[in-house]
Amino acid sequence: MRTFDAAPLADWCIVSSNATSGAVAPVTNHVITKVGAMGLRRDTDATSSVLVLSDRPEPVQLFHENKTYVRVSTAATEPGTHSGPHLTPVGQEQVGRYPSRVLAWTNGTDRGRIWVAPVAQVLEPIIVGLYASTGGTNTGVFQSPGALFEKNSIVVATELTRAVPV
Amino acid sequence: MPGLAGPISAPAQVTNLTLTMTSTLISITQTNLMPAEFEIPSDYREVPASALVARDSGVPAPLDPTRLGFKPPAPTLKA
Repeated sequence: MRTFDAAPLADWCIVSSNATSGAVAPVTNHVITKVGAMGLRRDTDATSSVLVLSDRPEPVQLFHENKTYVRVSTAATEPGTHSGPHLTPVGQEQVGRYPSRVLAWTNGTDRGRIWVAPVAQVLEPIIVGLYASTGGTNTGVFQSPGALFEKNSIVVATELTRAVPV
Repeated sequence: MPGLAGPISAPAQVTNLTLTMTSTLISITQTNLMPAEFEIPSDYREVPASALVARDSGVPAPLDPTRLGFKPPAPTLKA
């Protein structure tokens, strides 16, 4: 009798809810981040996606309505020169079912907070190691839900406040 | 005089609009993705970034992942 092994699940799909307030028209949408060996794809809405590919030096942003794409400049983030803003612990809060640490940051123009929960609180124990060795490592997006944080936590929520000239 | 309002004052000068963007994790799932998910479709054409017209939506442009510390993953070598 022949047997067929299902292909191992090698990639990750992270779904988060994004909400913008303070604008003329508040916006809420779901963001789907797909992480695989070839890179990362982030679908921010039906009209746009960002690809960060392992074989391209810079991310590209796709615009589906007119089938175009642009290269996203990385001039401000030369490898090894950018480590992200300094994070300051500001307490503990519950985010949904996750008990989380809250950390705040500012870079002079923007300010924000991130909430991080122990990885074992977010993922099934059987896949914690897999996530750390593949998806978590590849995700790497600082201040993005689903990103691995300090190897033992996962970002479960973020908040960014920005003053926009009008 | 009926029908006339008082003196028209200039609209208040607004210099900044404060936007707050929140993002909350909903789920993380293991899956197998199609290779095409990580390819630029062949019928897409590249345009210079300067050709982009900023949308007047009041919503800031999407954040550049690399500005948030993202480093593209190293290629995975398969035996």
